[in-house]
Amino acid sequence: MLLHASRRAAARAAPAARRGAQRLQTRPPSGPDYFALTECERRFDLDLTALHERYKSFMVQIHPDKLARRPADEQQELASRAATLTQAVGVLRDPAQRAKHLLELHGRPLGEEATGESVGAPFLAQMLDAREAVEEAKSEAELHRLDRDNDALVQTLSAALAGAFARRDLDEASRLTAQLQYLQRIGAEIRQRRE
Amino acid sequence: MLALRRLALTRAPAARLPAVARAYHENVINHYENPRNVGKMNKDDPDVGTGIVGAPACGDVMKLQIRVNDDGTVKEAVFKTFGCGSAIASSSFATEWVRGKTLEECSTIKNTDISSQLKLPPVKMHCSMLAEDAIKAAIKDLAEKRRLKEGASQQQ
Repeated sequence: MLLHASRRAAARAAPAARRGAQRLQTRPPSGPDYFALTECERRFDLDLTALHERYKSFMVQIHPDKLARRPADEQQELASRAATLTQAVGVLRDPAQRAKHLLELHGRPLGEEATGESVGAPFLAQMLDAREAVEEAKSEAELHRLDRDNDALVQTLSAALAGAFARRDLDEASRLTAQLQYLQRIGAEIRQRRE
Repeated sequence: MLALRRLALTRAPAARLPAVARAYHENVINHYENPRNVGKMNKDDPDVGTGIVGAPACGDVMKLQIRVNDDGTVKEAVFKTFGCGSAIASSSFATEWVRGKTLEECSTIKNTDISSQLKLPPVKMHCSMLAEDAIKAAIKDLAEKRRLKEGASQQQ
C-alpha cells in the first residue's frame, strides 16, 4: 500500500509522463471476475432478468432453514459464496459499475488520474450545467424531470457501450464508461435531493 | 435512569465528531468552509479563459475561470466545483494562487503546490490534480480564443 502510494506520487510529478503511461498501461486484472462467478457471458448488455432469477434460485437453495443439518464448514462455505455472489450481482446490476468492472477485466481500469481529456470539454460543460440544475431545482416535479432526462442519457450511453464492448473498441468503451460515471453521479445527487 | 442513558446515547456521536474533523488539516477545512471566489464569468468574454475538468472515478466536476489584464497578468479567478471538500478547497486555493501572476507563471503550477499547502491526505491527491488541470485548461482556452481572434483580424 505504501509502495503503491509513493509510486503514484512520483507519477504525478511529471504530468506528461503520467498521462503517457496511463494510455499505454494495460494491467492484467487482479480482482474477481463477477461475470464468471455468476456464470454470465462477459458482455455489457446483460440479461439482468435471467441473472436475477439465477441469483434468487441460488439464495433459496442455501436458505439457512434448509441447511440447518449440514456440517458447519459446508454452511460457512455456502454463506461466503452467497456474500460474494451478492456483491457480484450488485456490481453487474448497475450499468456504471458493470462498465468499470468490464474495463478492469480487459486490463484497462478507469484511472483515477484522468481529468477530462477523454470525455471532452463539451461533455464536461454539459455535466456542470446538469449538476447546477440539480442543485438549483426548486420542486419535486423539476427533480423528476431532471431524473428522467438523466435516465434517457444513461440508456443512450448504455446502448453505445454495449456496441463498443462487442466490437472490442476499448478506447471508445473507456470514454463512454467515464461518461457513464458522471451520469451515475448526477442520478445519485438527484436521489439524495429527493429524499 | 432511562433518561440518562438516552442522553448518553445521543451525545456519543457528537463527542466523536471533532476527531473526524481533525483528520483534515485546518487549511483544507478553512477553504472548504469559506471558499474564496466562488462564481462565474462570461465564458464568451475575450479576456476570460474557462477550464472545465472532471474526475471520472468519482464524477466530480470543476470549472475554473480567469480574467486577464492587458499586461497578461491574472486580474481575477473564480470557480464552481461539484465535488468533495478537498476538491472545493483545492479549487478555492487555486483561484487565490493565480491572482496577480502572469499566464506563464500560472502554467508552471504543480498539483503538489496545492496539496502541500492544503496538507491533503494521499487519497485526496487527485483533487489537487483536478485544480492544476483546471488552471491549465483555462489558460489553453484563453490562448485558443486569442489565436482565433488574431486569425480573424489577419483575414480582414
